[in-house]
Amino acid sequence: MAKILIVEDDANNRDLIARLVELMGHEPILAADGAQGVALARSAQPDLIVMDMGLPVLNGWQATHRIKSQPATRHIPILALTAYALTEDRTRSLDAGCDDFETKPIDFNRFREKVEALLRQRGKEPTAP
Amino acid sequence: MQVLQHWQQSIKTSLRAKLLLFLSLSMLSILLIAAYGVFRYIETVEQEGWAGRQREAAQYAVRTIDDFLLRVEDTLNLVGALSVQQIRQSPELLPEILNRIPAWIEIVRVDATGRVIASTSRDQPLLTNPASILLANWFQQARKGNNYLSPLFITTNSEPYIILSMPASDGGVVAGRLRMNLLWETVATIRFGRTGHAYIVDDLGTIIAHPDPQIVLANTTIGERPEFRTFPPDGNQRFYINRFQQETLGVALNIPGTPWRLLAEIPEDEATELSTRAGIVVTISLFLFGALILLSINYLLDRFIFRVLNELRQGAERVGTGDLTQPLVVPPEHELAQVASAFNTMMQQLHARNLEITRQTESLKTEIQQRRRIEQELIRARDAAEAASRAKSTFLATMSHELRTPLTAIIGYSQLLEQLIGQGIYDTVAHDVGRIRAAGTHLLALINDILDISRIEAGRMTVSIEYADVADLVRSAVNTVLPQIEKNRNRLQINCPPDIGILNSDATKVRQALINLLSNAAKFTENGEITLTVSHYYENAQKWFRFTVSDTGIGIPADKLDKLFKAFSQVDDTPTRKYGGTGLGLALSQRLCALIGGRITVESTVGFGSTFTIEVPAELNAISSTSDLDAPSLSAIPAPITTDRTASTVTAKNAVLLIIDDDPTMSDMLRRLIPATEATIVTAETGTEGLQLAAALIPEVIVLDLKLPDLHGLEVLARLRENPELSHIPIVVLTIDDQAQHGLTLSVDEYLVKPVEPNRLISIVRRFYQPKAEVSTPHILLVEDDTALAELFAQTLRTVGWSVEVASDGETGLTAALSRPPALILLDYMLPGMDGLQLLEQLRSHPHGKNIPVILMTAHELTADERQQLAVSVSMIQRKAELNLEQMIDHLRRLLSQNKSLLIEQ
Repeated sequence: MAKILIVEDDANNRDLIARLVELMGHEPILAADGAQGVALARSAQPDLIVMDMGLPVLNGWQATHRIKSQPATRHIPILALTAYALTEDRTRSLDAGCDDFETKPIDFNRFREKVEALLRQRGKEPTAP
Repeated sequence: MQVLQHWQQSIKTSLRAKLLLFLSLSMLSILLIAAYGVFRYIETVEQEGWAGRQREAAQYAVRTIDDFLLRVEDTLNLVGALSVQQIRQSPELLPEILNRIPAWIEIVRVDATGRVIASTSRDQPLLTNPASILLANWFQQARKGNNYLSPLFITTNSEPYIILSMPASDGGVVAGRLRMNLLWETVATIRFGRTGHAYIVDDLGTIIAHPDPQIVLANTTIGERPEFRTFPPDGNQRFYINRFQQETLGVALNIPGTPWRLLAEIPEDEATELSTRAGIVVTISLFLFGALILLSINYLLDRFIFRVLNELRQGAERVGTGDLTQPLVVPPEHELAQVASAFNTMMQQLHARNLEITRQTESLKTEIQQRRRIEQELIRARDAAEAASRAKSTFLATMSHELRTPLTAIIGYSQLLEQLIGQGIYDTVAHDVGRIRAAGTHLLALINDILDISRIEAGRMTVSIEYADVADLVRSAVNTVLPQIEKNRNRLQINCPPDIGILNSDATKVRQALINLLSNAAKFTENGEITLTVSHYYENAQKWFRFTVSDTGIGIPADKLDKLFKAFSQVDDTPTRKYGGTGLGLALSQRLCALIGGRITVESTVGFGSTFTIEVPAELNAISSTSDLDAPSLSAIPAPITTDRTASTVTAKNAVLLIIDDDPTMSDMLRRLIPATEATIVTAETGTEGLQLAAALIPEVIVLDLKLPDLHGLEVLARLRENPELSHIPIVVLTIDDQAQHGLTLSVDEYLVKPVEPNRLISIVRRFYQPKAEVSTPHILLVEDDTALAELFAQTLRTVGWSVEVASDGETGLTAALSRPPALILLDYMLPGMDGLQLLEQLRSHPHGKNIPVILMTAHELTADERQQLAVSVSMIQRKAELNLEQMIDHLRRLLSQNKSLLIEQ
């Protein structure tokens, strides 16, 4: 059972993803803005972070950058959720340090596969980005 | 010398000078030759004149003497012709002769044996000495049969005499002593000119007669001289240098019957006096004449040639300066007149061409101006188009996001329900289904609003005019909104006269806008009052209706007011967006009103409420079409700023500014003044939260208020510094107490006393997060006169890897700072000569020195005033006593890691 940090500002979406994570048998941790996301990443040390890109305080890219810059949290894989389906968003997410991304609305099955894949990777030695 | 050079210069450059020089040289030669010729001529004439005179005089003298000699010879002859007897018989004969001819001094008749027969003498007889007679030349010569003339005798017992002798009748001799005085007198009378004179020399060259008797008595001789030896006594004038070294002209004549010569001499000076004078006069007059001619020529040249040339030159110069209006004036008979007239023609043509060019330039200029104006308009249009394009892109992006959110909920919850129902879990069905419905409804509202706005934008929104009772309209709108109003426990007050009037316009739109306003009022007010007031007024003879919706809700901050009507700009900025809504309501309402010729305005105070006003004309003229709208369209407004989520335009590496302050004023202000693309502002309202966030985010700058609800600011500061991950972060401290700076010095990069001037804080903060420039080995200047201390500092700093320059007094320090600007200056307050303050002053007044951060080190405490004064120019003030090198290095590191072009605000 893994700890998965969900950083999403929309209440509905947060609820959805949290329940999905629970259905998958993992433990959801919730954050509602980018700053909170970074803080919780440090303190809770989740196994995976699901990060919405459009967030208040710090946006998803900023939060990802911070998380990936700090040695304490660098190793945590990040799955980006983006409402923007443009190619540049994809590139931008990956440039910021996201390990994978998914567009909204979320398809449950795809989501599940990606999460499991990232968790499996995590099971191996943490690689430097 | 300079005059000479000047002349040389003139000659080189001036034709006239050359001409005149040539002329003068030629004339000079001619004149010289002429003058010389004249002079020579006159000289010759004069000389010949003198020669003539000399000759005449000489000849006259010679004749006189000759006569005399003849006469005296005759007497001797007479005596000689007499026999001895006759002479004896007439003893008075000789004295008689002596009487008659005073020139004779002595006469004697001797016979052939030398015996004196008769003699007579005026003085002591000299010829009668029998002992000497036979030996005497006069006797011997006469005995031979010659007439004899002796040389001049000068004795002491007689006047000078010569002896004449000739043979007598019986073979004897008759002789006599002859006075020279006649000769002398004759000679003395010969005068010509002033100094011309004559003298007689004998056959040996001895002067026997001279106007100056002394010369005779001195036995002067010219026997060796050329005038005697070389020149024959032929009466021709000859030139020589006489015994007095004078240049002389002389004429020599023989005295017949004697071996004597007469010389007439005149110094050449006198002889040529006339000619010399004449020569000078002639030369001078000729020169004057020449000068006169030169001047005349000069004048003529000037007048006829050079003046014209000058005129030409000036004309050319005028053309050079652009003056083409003065034609050249040249007399028509002049050779250069043609040149002048050609020149004038050229000027006219140039002038005409100039005018043409000017005209064309002017028209070009006008054209350029026009083009420029067009260019600017094009630029403006382009900018507007770009802005519109950007606005549209942002709108699309936001719209895409907005639409996806409810869709995510719908699809997500649906999938979730599938899963749960599949597993037989029905706990959450009601909740989830509710969410789906809510999301669907929201989506519908969104789509409706977006379609409406799009239609308006595309100009396809129609306006249908109908008559509507305003009171009814109001009632209808209120009814729609009532549930929302009551949901928030608000009270609604309606002020609408039932006979307020008839609206002849698109009532649907008015109703829609009104519902939107009421709905907003209901949303943003809790337990408050909402008042709707309807009235009418007249503007420009037209009737207008006014609908005012006031609420006592949360109000709208002043800076958000102008963004209110922009799409997707919402007042609430909390993450959960509890106020709901599509974000397009007001934008749509404004456009709807504009379509029917009206407008919406707003007034609001944060915490007290807002008042929205719709004003519409009672009658809508059919003429006003969508194209006349004043309403700013989507394309005209700049990209909306969404306040509820950090714009996606903010980059990942955007600087983060953490503010730890329980008073939101500071954060609000900074958020307002610092654009999101420059830095992201995160607020923490407690010390604990601040520490957490700092640890989590590792921001670029921290602004820390010392007054916090939970921990004391100093403790937060300390803990921040203790954390090795955070110790490098620049911290700006806000304090209300000036004294509190004591403990701060090294840990703090800047401190400000509240209330803080916003711009000051911003520029301070900006210092710390502006993009960094590459800093190679930082160079530090240390100005410290205590050598030991300086060494210690320098060493320590060098071990960290920085380059340190040490100056031991103010002057050196200032020079060093300006010639090789360091990244940082450690400045001792007390320095010999120029002290720290003076150095600072001079440094800051220099463009290179303005921006170098300075840490002032003092041995003693500074007063508040001093600190205040220094605050402007000094980064930090460090008391030497409290110096901790490690902390100092940390601080320096922070300072150095900032942008090189630090701005110390004015």
